[in-house]
Amino acid sequence: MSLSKLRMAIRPCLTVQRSALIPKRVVSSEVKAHEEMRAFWEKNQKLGRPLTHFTTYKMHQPMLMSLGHRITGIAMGVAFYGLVIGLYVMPGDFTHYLDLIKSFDLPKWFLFPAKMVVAFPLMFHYMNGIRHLSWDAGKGVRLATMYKTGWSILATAIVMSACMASLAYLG
Amino acid sequence: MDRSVVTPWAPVTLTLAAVNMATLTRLRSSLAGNCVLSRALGNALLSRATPVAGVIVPHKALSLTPVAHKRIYGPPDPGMPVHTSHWKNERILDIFMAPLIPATVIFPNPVFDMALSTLLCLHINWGLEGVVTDYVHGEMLPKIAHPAVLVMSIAAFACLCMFNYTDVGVGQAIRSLYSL
Amino acid sequence: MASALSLAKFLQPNRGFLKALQPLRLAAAASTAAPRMKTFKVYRWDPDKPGDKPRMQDYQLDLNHTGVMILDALIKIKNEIDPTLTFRRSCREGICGSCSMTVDGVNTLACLCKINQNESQTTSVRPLPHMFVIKDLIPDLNNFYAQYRWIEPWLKKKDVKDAEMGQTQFMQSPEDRDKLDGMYECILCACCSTSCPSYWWNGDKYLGPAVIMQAYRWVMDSRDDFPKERMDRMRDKWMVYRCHTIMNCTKTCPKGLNPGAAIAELKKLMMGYESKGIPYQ
Repeated sequence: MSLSKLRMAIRPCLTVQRSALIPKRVVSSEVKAHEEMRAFWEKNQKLGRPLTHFTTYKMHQPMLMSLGHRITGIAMGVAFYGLVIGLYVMPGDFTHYLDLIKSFDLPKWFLFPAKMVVAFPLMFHYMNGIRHLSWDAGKGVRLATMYKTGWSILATAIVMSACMASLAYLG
Repeated sequence: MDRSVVTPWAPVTLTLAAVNMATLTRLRSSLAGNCVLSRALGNALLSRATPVAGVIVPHKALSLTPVAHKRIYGPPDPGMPVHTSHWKNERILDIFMAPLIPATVIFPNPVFDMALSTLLCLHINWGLEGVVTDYVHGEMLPKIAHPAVLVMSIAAFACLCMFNYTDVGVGQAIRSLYSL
Repeated sequence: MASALSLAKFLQPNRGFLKALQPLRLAAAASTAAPRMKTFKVYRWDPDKPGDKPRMQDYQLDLNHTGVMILDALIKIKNEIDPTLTFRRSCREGICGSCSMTVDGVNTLACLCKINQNESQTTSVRPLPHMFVIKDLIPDLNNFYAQYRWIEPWLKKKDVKDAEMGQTQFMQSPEDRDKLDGMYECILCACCSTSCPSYWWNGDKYLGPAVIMQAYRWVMDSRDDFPKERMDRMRDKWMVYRCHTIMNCTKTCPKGLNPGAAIAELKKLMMGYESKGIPYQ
């Protein structure tokens, strides 16, 4: 009994001594994490380690759809801005250029595919955009669903481009 | 196996087992080498009757991919502006644009034309800004690219306003093009 | 009579004496079959060799004497052909996350990826994409780990002092526990983050799918008292919002998890909407 009391008396002194000898450095995890990140970039750049390839990554349908969404978005954005600003800068109004294109008397076998090619990016981006909005709502995020919706978007976009291109020949 | 079976056949089985083990050990040591890891794995992979042919064919060297020089890598600054409301506005804009595009083409009128022009320019502006944030890095390039996108968007919007006011308008323009 | 019966039992093919000989018989059968040689193209780079450039090295293995998984092939190459081949491995059962690499262009765990048994096709084995290489198939994952540390992936309570931790249980209903399904199983193998193009281009600032899914896991944990603070740390345009729902992460997860869904749900929570957890792949 006296031994345990002695031990209990000594223990706090021992712990006080220990902490006095080795002061604990409290660093927030955020600071430590940021230090580690910076150290990572410095070390790898200093050592000149190679960066592994990403061009060999296997393409699959969801990745291609996302790539297509970005590419069609950039292409249409740049083309739209270019057309709109160009129409303002160039002499003549819209009707003038429309008559100019009419005067070329382009054959049907050229006009129909050309209209499809121009309409397809818009239809694809539009349909895929709706799918993006459904993902943001948390719907349809399973892999099997993504594949199905991806194929149906592709098919619908082609069909809708064909519809747009055939409008001139309907009425 | 119960003991009555083991006992009379024990010498036979033991001899056979010993021969088995001896063969395995000889094969293992000859093929796997003296490394501890390979001996341990040799046990798992058992004996191989045919030696495995390993051909080392060096390919031409893959290029080292350099990391962008002028870019400063590291965690984002803590004092950056909150992006949540911007992201929410982008989605709200998309929701409004979705019915507006077919509506403007089917029923061209000045109100739809102006609404579509505004929403379209905003959408393209925010989209291109996202693209620039993703791909344009370094010290000076983002400082040039981001304002450039904004300038283009303002210019395009101004031209669209002129187009809607003085010319046929966006909806009618698309209809005319597709009636060619 | 009893000994004759015992002899008959002893000579049964699936028991006793003949069962003991079964491995030898199988090996003999395999050895007499024609060797099915398959070429494995493996990424090599040695930091200790001055001027060494990354290259792909071919190894030929007999599929009749190789295990089922890519890791078996790599271990066999290291054992019998080239001991200098270096790769990470530990559990060999898809739970430690050490052996993550790119096999035929897909990020996966080598111990769970079956070898394509068509010997006319070459299988390529590369380290994880867009990562700095330490040696051969080993990438430097310290940035990935630092990002995981940054989100503070531990339980944070408001009114419980450190000394009181462990005194009582933190109760959680089964419904609340179910919300963590599909996220707690993550083994941090980094397959998803290194498959994400946004992480390739902005890996220094964008946290990546694995880390964001774990951030969402801690926000969704009903026992944690700081969901709002956790989310408020990540509201800038880099950490979460570089995700454009490309969904490479969900496609590649070797554990069948859905990090893309977790990021979508976290964005919903950050907007102020409710979230009920995520599905599997």
